[in-house]
Amino acid sequence: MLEPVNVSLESLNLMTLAPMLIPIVGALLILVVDLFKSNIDKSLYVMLSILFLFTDFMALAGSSSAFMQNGTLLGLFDVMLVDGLAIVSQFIIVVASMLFIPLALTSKRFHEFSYPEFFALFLFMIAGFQFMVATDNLILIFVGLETASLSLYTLIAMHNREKSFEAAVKYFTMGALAAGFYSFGSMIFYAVTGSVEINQIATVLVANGFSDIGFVMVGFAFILASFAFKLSLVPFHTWAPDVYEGSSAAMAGYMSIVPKIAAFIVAMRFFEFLIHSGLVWVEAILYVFVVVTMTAANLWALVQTDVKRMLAYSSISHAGFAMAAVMIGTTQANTALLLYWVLFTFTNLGSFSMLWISRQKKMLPGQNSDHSYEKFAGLVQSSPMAATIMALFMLSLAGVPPFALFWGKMYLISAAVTSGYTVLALIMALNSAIAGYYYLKLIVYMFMKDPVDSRYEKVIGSNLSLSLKTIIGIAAVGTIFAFIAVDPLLQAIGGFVYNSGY
Amino acid sequence: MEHIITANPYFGVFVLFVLTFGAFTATTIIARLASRALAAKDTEKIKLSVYECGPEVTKQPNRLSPQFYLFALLFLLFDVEIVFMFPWAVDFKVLGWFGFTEMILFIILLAIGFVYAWKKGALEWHNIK
Amino acid sequence: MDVAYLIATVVKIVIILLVFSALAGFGTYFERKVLAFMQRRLGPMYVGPYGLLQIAADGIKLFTKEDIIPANVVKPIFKIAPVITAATAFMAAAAIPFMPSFTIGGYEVKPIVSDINVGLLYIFGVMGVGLYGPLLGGMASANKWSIISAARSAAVFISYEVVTGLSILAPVMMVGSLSLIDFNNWQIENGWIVMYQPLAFILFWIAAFAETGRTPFHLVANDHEIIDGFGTEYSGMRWGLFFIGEYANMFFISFVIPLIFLGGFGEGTFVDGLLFFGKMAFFFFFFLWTRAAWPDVRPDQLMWLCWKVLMPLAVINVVITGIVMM
Repeated sequence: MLEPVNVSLESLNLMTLAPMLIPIVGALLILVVDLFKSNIDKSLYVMLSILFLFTDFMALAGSSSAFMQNGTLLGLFDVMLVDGLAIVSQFIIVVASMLFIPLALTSKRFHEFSYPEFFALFLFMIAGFQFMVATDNLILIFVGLETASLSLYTLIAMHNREKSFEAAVKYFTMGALAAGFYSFGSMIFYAVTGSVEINQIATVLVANGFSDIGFVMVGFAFILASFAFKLSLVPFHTWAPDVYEGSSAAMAGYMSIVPKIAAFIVAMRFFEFLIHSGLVWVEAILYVFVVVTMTAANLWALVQTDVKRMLAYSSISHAGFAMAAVMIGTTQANTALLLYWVLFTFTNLGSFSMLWISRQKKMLPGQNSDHSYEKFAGLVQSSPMAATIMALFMLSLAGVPPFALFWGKMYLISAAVTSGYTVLALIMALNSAIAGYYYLKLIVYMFMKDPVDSRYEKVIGSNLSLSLKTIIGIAAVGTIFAFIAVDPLLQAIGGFVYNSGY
Repeated sequence: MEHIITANPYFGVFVLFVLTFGAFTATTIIARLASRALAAKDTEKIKLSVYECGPEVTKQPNRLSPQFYLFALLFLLFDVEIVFMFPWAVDFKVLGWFGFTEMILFIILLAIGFVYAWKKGALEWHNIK
Repeated sequence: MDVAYLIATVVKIVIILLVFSALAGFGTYFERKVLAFMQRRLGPMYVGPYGLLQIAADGIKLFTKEDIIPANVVKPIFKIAPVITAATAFMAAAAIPFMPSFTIGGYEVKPIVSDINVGLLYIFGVMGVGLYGPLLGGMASANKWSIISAARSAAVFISYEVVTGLSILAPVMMVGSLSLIDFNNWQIENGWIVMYQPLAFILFWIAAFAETGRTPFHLVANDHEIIDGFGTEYSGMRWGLFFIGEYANMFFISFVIPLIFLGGFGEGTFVDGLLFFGKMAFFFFFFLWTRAAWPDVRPDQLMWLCWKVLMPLAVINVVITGIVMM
C-alpha cells in the first residue's frame, strides 16, 4: 500500500490560480442566474461580465505586485507559472475584454446577445486564454487553447447569419487541424525530452546538444504550423478574412487582438530557447514567415473592396509585424511586441467598433458586402464626427505620427536595428508605406468622394448607443494621447519582461 | 484465488482477440460456402432490395434525428468524467482528503452542467428550449 | 514467457470459445422453455427428447440458409458488423475468473485467461466496443428500420455506459482495485459488497439489461415497430452471430454481477464453486423472467430513467461512499 498523499494548501499557491478562477465562477454564475430566472435583460449580463472582469483585473494587480516583490511565482504543482509575460499579457486580455463587452449594448437587437450563454462562453474563453499564457506546461496550454477556441467558435456562430455559420465551421475545422498539429508537436517534444514543461524541454535539449535534431525539426514544424494558424501567418491565414467577414464586427475586432496575444506569448516562450541556442534554420524559417506574412497580406489588402476584409488582411499583416519581435527574441524586441499590442488593441478595437456602429440588418439592393467602401463614400458630408474618428484610426493603423501605432512600429523597428536585422527593419518600413495606401484609400473615400447612395447615410450610426460611443471615445483617446503613455508603459512592460528573463 | 504472476498478462487478451475474430470470420465464410452448396436459391430482384412491405424501394437516406447527437455530447461529458474518476477511485485511500476535495469540486462543476442540460430540456426527447 | 503459461492460456481460450458458443445455443433453448412455461405452453418439444436437439436443428438451418446480401448495402461493413458483435462479446471474457482455481495432474489451473490489473475497465471497454456491431450493421444496411435501431442502440449503450461506470465506482473505491480476483478476495474478509452498496448493486443490475439490450430495454430490435432493427437485412449465420454475441454478453454479465457484488466464489471450495454457478444461473434466469413479465419501454422513457434517475443516484452514491470512507 502506498503512503497517503498529503498536500499542504500553502504549497499549492492558489493565488496563482485566482485570475482564471474569477471569470470561470462568473460564467457559472451567469448560467445559474439564467436557469432560475430567464428573460433577464442583457444589460445585467453585461454588467456582471464587467464586474467579474474588473475583479479579475484586481486579482491580476495583486499578482503583479507579488511578482514585483518575489519574482516569478509557481503554483499548483509547478504547473502555473506567473511571470512578467503572463501578467502583462493577462492585463491586455482582460482590458481588451472589458472594452469589448459593452459593445453588446447596441441600439439594435442582435440574436447572440439575447442568450446569457454568450456572456458565459465569453468568460470561459477569457479564462482559457489566461491559462494559456500563465503556464509553460504544454498540456495546460493545450487545455487553455481548446477551452478558448471552442468557446470562440460558438460565439462566432451565435451571430446567426449564414455567413457566420460558414465562418464558425470553417474556423472550427481548421482550428481542429491546428490543435491536432499542436498536440502532435508536443508529443514529439515529450518523446525526445521526457517532459512537457517548456523550460525543462529547453534544458534537456541544450544539455544533449540537440542530438535528436530530426525529431526537433519535425516537432518544431508542427508547433510552428499550429501557432501560425492561430496567429494567421501566411500561408496559414486563409481562414482569417472569411471568419472576420462572417462574425460580427465587434467579434472580429476582438479576434484580431486577444487570441493573438495569447498565441504570441506561447510562441515567445516556445521559440525563445530554440532561437537562442543558435539553430540557424529556426531563425531562417521564422524570417521567411515574417517577411511573407507582412508583404503578402499587405498586397492582398490592397485589392479588397470590403473594409472589413481589408482590416482582416491588415491585421494579418500586423501579426506578421509583431511576429518579427518573436523572431528577434531580445528583451527589447519582446517589450516592443507587448507595447505594440497594447497600442494595437486601442486602435483596432476602435476601427472595428466603427464598423459595428454601421451594422445593417439587411443589405440594401445592389450592395454585395456588409461594409463596402461605397458605404463610407462621402461620410464627411453626413456625419463629419464619424468620418474624423474613422480617419483617426486609419491613420494610426498606417503608423502616422503621433498616433498610437506609430510608437509601436518605431520601437519594433528600432529593436530590429539594434539587434542587427537592418534588412528586416527596411522591409518593415517599406511594408508600412504600402499599408498606408489602403488605409488612405478609405480616408479618400470618406473625405474626397461624394455619397454613392443617400440610403447609406441612415445606415451609418444606426447601431449607435451610449455605451458604443463611450468605447469608441476611449479608443480614440487612447489612440490620440498614446504619446503621453508610451514612455511609462514601455518602462513598466520592460521591467516585467526583463525580470521574467525573456 | 491468487493472482497469476507473469510478465505478459495481456498475452491472453491478444490471443483471444486473434482467435475470436478469426473464428467468427471463418464461421461466416463457412456459412456462405455451405449456403452456396445447400440453400435453395432464388434470384428474384425484389428479394435483394431493401426490406419493405411490398413495393420495390430505392435507396433510403441515412439521416438521424439530431436528438441522438445531443445524447452523444452528454455521453462524452459524463464518460470523460468517469474516465477521470476510475483512477481516483482505485487510489481513493492513498489520495486522501486532497483527492476527495478535488473530486468533489469536479463533480460540482459537472453537476452544474448537468442541471443546465436538464433545465434546458436537453434530456427530454425533442424538447430543446 | 514460459511454455506452460502459453499453452495453458491458449487451451483456456479454446475452451471458453467452445463452451460459450455452445452455451449461447443452449441459452436460446432455455429462453424458449422458460418463456413457454411462463405462458403455459410447452415450447420446443418435437426435435429430440423435450426438444433438446432444437439447437442443432437451428444451427443446421442457420448454416444452410441462403446468404442474402441486399443490393444497396455497404458490403465490407455489412459483413464485418456481426463478427464485431460476437468477437467483442467473447473478448470480454478474458478478464473474468470463471471458477475457483483447481488442480489437474499436479498443475494448478486458474480459470482466467489474462489476469490484468484493469480487469473491470477492460470488460466494460470491450463491451462498449460491442456497440459497433449494431451501429455499423444498422448504418450499412441502407434501411430505415436498421438506421433507427442503430441510433437507438448507440443512444442506449452510451447512456447506460455512464450508469454502469458510475455505479461500479463505489465498490472500486472500497476494494481499491479493478481486478475481479481482488474483488473476490476482498469479499472473503469483509463480506459481500451488496451489503455495503445495495444501491450500486441495483443500478448495475438495471444497467446490465440495457448493456445486453434485453427486455425491458429491448428497443434496439423492437419487433412491432422497427421489425428486427439492425438485424432486418441479415440472414443465415450472419444474423446468428448477432444472436451469439447477445447471449454471450448475457452470460458474461451474469458472471460479473455475482463476482462484484455477491461474494463471487469466495474461498474456492467445491461448494463455493457450485454456489457461484447457482448465482450466475439465477441472474441468467432473471433476464428471461423479466422478458416474460415486463413490457418494453419507450426510448424516451429509457432516457428519462437513465439521465434523470439512475445517473444522479449513482453520483450521489459515489459521494456518500466517499464521505463515509473518509
